[in-house]
Amino acid sequence: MLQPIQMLMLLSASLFVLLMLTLVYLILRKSADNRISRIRSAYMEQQQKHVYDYLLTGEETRSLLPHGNKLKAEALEQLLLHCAGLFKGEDMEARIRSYASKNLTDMYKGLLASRSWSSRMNTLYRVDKFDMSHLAAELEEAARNRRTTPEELALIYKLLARWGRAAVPDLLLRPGNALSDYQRRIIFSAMTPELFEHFVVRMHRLPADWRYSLIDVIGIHRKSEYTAGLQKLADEQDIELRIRALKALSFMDNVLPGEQYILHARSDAWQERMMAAKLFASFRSGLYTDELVRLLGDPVWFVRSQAAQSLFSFPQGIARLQEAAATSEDLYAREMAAEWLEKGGAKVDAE
Amino acid sequence: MTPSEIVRKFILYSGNFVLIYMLIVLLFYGFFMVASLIYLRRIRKLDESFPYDELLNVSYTRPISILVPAFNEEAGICGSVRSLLSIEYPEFEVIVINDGSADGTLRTMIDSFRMEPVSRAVRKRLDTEQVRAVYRSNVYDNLYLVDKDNGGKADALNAGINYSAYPYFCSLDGDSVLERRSFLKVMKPILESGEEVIASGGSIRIANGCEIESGEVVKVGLSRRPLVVMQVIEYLRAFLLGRVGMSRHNLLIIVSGAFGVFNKHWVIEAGGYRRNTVGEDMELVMRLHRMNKDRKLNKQILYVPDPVCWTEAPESMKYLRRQRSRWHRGLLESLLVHRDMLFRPKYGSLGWISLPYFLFIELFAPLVEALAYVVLVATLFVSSVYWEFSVLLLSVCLLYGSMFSMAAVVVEEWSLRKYPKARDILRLFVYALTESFWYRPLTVWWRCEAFVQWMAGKRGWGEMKRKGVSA
Repeated sequence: MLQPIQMLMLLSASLFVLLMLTLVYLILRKSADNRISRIRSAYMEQQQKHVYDYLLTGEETRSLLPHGNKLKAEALEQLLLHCAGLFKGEDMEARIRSYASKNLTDMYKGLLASRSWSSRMNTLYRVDKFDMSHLAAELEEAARNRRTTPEELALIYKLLARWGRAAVPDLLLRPGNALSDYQRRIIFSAMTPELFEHFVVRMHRLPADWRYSLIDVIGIHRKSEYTAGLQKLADEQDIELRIRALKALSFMDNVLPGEQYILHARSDAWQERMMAAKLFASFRSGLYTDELVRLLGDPVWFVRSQAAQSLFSFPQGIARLQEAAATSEDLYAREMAAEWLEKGGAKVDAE
Repeated sequence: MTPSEIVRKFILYSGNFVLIYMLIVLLFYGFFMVASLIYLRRIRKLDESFPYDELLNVSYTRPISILVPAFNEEAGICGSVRSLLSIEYPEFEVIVINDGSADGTLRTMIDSFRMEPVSRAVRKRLDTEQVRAVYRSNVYDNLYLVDKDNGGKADALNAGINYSAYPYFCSLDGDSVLERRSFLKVMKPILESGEEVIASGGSIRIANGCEIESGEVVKVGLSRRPLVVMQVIEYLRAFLLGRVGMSRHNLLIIVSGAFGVFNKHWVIEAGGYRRNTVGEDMELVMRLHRMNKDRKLNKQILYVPDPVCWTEAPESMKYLRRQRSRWHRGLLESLLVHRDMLFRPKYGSLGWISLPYFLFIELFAPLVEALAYVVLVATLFVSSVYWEFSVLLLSVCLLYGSMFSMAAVVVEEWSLRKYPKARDILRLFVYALTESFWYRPLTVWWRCEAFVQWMAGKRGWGEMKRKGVSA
């Protein structure tokens, strides 16, 4: 019996000692960290004026160089990060970029190859903030490294897309790239127009989910040069493609109303009917009023809701909504019409 | 057999049983702790101010409906709502559901936010008690108040789901204070997963002792009350050591009712919150898991340690005792509802690891621990022959009761470092050391009471007295 007791006591005691030691270390580190951050703050305060002067005039003083002082370098980096978020304007951005590329490049190159995931991520965010496009080759190498995680990849792709790198199409469409719709949208949104064009031209060769994200981004950024293409896509066989194209079209201001869109409001897929109703709102044409009133009684709530919202934006829409609220046989249509009338009223008050 | 022989036999058998049980539990805890450490090690140095810029752009994000069920929350409700209205998120609405409060909750809300009745077209997809009226604020376009007959928290949340307009909803207690970026942080994994994550929960921390100004925690501190400090430690242990580890393996069956984001579509598919149970949050997550496996959806339920929601902890024995026995009854009820998932191959690791863990370790632990205390006392009185055995049992109890709590404090300081003062960390550590001697026995007793209450047919919520942390 004695042996297990001894073993257990030994185990408890060593665990206890281990915990104590870790705690002592962490507390010492905490006070050291607090001291370091005080010194760093002092540097930041001291350098603030020099950094602002540099950003405003482009005049570099010797005090802007870290001279091998790590804390000062960090303080300068922090200040610059702060400014990068604060000031906009080409000159300022160019100066921030130039300072970062002169003074931070070597450090970042090292950190990008670090074994610690958090260090690599933090560095990528900084490369993003300072827009350090001269590190593109390093990022491409990282993208091909097997160790690189999906989170890093998403960010690397966004940066390479923003810098218009030729390697982007191949990198993005590599098998095994698991990017979500959200990440694909961010990448497409960041792309240079030339790269974006490259993807649009080859749209039919893209995997379906990439195609859908691409169409969404055309809509989100109102890239009206692609309107004709979207109109063609709205007649495709693939329902999902039609829905996305209609949605994107509803954001454009160079689409003309036409009979052909009414077909979509009679589709079997409720999402397509809903998007048609959304598109009608952008036309505000009497051509669609009857169709929207009909959709107020649609079996699917989302369609009814969108129809009411669209009708509301029509010049004669309020009258039609009032009519529906008073006389429609469908309880839901009446409720929906009433809600939109009330919502609109409140908005007018607020303005 | 003489009575003393009976006692000796009892000590021997139950003592051995308790020992083996506790060692198995320690192994489980150890496993989850290692999983947590691996994950926390990866993220602990991540600069938290960067990664959310894109999420602030509405074109990429999904809007959220924030549901705040309120029953007699007059004291804290306005502060909480104000704190919610100032969160950083591109598009959201706040829906407060007054669940037939007997105090001035409704009046306070209407007066503070200039609320007026509106008619809102609703897709009533979950059955609830009668809704009396819906109000909208004249000051904030995105603030609604649903006034309904009393039906309990689950019923209030279901009503909120019916009235919500957005694809994701977040359930939030009326007395919670969120950090400004909490929603961005909790939504990020959902968006990055391509919406494969259908529920995501954050950490709950205790607000007592923190400085709160206009609905925001401005300074993190530690309460002077030992009872609160012990709860702080318990939360650290549960969240940092338990949930992180479970979440890594999709074994998580709790997304705390105090702060969690859910995909509305799948919650409605699963039938919404179950009424007449005190563990509605846990029960819902179990049902989501079950649906996930039944329909082979391959969805995930995730815990993200950093987004923090601060909540008020009970400061007196009376209310803490009620809360603990209520939680334990909730666990018991949820496990009973889903007992058929246990050891069914179809439910995979959920049926083989997660549920057995909650059944044999979380649910039955207080009974076994109570037995351990009885055996310990018995060995002291019966004979000195058993002293070695007592020492063995005592050290296992210590390991079991205090060591993981101390580890949790150390892990907190190593990873998230929410407490700025070294003194607070030291105090937490010392209190954690004492856990086995007073706090643990107390909670064991309260949780054992839950079984008695349950057998006596008790099913309701006990009230909690709030003084309003966020005011």
